Amino acid sequence: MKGKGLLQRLGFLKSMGFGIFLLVFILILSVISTILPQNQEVQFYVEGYSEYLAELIFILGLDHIYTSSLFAMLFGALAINLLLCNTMRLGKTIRKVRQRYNIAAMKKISSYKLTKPMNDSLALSYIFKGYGAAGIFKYKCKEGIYFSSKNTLGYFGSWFLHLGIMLIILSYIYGQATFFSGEVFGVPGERMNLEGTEVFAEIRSFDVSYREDGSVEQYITELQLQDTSGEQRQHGSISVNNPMRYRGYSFYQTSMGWAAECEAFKAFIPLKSQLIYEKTALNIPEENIAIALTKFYPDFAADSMNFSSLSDKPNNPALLYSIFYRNELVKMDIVKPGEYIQWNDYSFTIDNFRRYTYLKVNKMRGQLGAAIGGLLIILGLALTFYVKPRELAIKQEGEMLFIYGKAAEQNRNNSGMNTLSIENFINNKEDGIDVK
Amino acid sequence: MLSEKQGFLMALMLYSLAALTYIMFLVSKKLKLSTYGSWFVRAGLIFHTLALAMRTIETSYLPLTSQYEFATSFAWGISLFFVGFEWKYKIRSLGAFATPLILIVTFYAALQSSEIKPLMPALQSKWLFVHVSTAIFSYGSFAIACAVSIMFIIRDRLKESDFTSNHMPQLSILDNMSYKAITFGFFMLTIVIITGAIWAERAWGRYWQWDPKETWSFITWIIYAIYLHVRLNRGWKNKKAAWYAVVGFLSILFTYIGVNTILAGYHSY
Repeated sequence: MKGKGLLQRLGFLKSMGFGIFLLVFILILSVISTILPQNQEVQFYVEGYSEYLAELIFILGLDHIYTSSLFAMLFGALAINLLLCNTMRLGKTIRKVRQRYNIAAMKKISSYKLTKPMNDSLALSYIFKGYGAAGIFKYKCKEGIYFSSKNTLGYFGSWFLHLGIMLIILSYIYGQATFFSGEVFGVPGERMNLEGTEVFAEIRSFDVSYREDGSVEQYITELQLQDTSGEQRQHGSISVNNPMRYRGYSFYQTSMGWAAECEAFKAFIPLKSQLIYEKTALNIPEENIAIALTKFYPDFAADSMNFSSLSDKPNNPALLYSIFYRNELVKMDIVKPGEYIQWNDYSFTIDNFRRYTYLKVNKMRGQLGAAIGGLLIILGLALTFYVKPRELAIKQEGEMLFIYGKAAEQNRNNSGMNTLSIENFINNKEDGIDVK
Repeated sequence: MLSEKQGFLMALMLYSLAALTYIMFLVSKKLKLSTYGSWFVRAGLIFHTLALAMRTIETSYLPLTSQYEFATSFAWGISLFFVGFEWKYKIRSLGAFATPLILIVTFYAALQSSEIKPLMPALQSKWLFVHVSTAIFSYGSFAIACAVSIMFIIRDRLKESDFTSNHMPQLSILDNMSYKAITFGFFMLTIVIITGAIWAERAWGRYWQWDPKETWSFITWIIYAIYLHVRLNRGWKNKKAAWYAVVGFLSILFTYIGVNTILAGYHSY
C-alpha cells in the first residue's frame, strides 16, 4: 500500500498537469514582478498599499519575487517535475523506437489487390515514397513484412527539450547560489584588490573613442590582472560587449565618470588630500566637515533654469560642490576646477579632473550547463516540430497487399501520389516496369 | 532613386489599400477585390523591403536597433509571413485579418522617430542581429497565427454559405495553420531568448537578470508552451486554441510595445 501511495505521489509530481500548474504560478508571479516595484524599502509598500496588501506582499515575498523562497521553490518543483517526467518518458520513448518493426503497434492504412506477385525493391521504394518515406530511409524485411522508418530521432525531441529546460533551471539555481559579484574602478594608474579574492587589478588606461559626429563609439579600459606578489597574470582591453575573462571571473565595462584631486585646508594649512569621484565626498571627521563633488560639467552651459554640459569633452569645465558641516548642507556653488572654495576657516580645491572607469566583475558558475541546456532546447524543439517520425510496413497476404502505419494522415505526404497510382505501379498498368 | 522614407510611405499606402480591398472583398464577396488586395500587399512588401534595404545601406547595419526600426521590421515580418501563407494555402480571405495587423504595426512605426542615430556601444554586438532578427520572424509568425485564429473565430460563427465554403477554409485547416504558425513562432522565440541570454552575459555580466523585457519574453514563452502542451497532449484544439492564440499575441504586443513604453529596464533603446 505504501509503495502504491508513493507511486501515486510520484505520478502526480511527474504529471503534465502539475507542470502546467507550476508554469501558471510562475507566470503569475512574473507578471506581478513587473507591476509591483521590486526591492523597495518596507516603508514604500506600507505607505503605497493597504495594510492587508502590504502584509501579503511581505508574507509571500512579493517585494523581491526573484529571490523569494516561493519563486525558488516553484522552480525547484518544476525541475523535479521535469526530472521525473523525463526519466519515465525515456522508457516509453525507447519502447516506441523498438516498436518501429512491430506491425501490431501499427494501424492498417490501405490495401491493394495484386494482379501479379510483388517483391521488387523498386516497387517497395515507390510505395514507401508514396506514403511519406521519401528522402533518406531504409527498409528491412522481417518475417516476410517490409518495414521502413525514418526520423526516428524525432521521438527524442520532447525528451531533449525537457532535459534542456531542466539543465537550465538547475544551472541557474547553482549559478545564483554561488554567484560572485565585485567591482574594479579608478583612474589610470590605480591598482586595487578585487574584494574577497587574491586578484589585483591595475587600470593601465581608459579611453573613450568618438565618431566624427561626436557620438561615443566605445569605452575601452586596458586592465592588467596581478597576483598578490604583483606578477602579471592577464592583460588586455575591455570594452562594452567585450569582457575580459580570468579564472571564471568576467570583467565588464559598465560605467564611467569623472574623478578629481581634492585638497582641504584649515587656515591655509593642509588638512587632507584625496582623489574623489563624482557624487562622493572628501570627509574630515575630526573637523565634522565634508565636501562633495556633486556634479562635474565638462562643457559647462547655464541658462536661467538649469546647468548642463554641452558635450562630454572638457571644453569648458565647471563643477558643482556641496559643503556639509555637522551633517548639514552649508554651502553649494559652481566653480571652475582649481578655483579656491572658501567657507569660514576652511578652504578647498578640486582640480586635475580625469575620467575614471567602472568595471563590474562577476563569477557565475553553471554557464556551461545553461549553454548545453539552451542547445538541447533548440535541438528538442527542432526534432519535435520538424522531424516527425514515420513508420510504414508492407505486408503481402495472398493477392492482397496491406500498408500499415502509425498515423495514416501523418504518413501521407504531398508527393502527389495517390492509391490509384500506387496500384497502377504495383500492377504494372501504367509505368511499364516489369514487376515480378 | 527611391529613398527610405518614400519606400516606407509607399508600403504604408499599399498596405492600407490592401487592407481596404481585402475587407471590401469580405463584405462584397467579389473575388476580384481579393486579387487586388493580394497584389497590393505584395507590392507593399517589395517597397517595404526596398525601404529597409535603403536604411541598411545608409546606416551600415540592419534596421533593428530602435523602436522605429524594430516596428518597421516587425511589420515587414508579418507581411512576409502573410504573403508566404497566402501563397502556400491559397486563402485570399486571410488578408482581411492579416493586413490590418500589418497596418497597425506599420502605423506604429510611422509614429516613432525615424532619425538615424549612431550605434551606442551596448548595441555593437553581432548577437544583436541574431537576437532581433529572430524576434522579427517569431513575432511575424505569431501575428499570422493570431490573424488565422481571428478568422477561425469568425468563420465558426458564420453560417455555411457558398462564400464560406469557397473562400474560407475548413475550421480544421485554419486550426492547423494557426498551430503551424505558433510552432514556428515558438521555435524562433526560444532562439530569441537564448541568443538574448548569450548577449546579455557578454554585455551586462549576467545571462538572465529579470529585466522587464526578459520577464515578458519569458511570460510569452510560458503562454505558448502551455498552448503546445495542452494541444499536443490533451488535444486542445479549435475555438479554445484560437482564443488562446489571440491572447498569446496580445502578450507579444505587450512584450514589444507595452514593456518599452510602460516599464523601465535595460531594453530602453
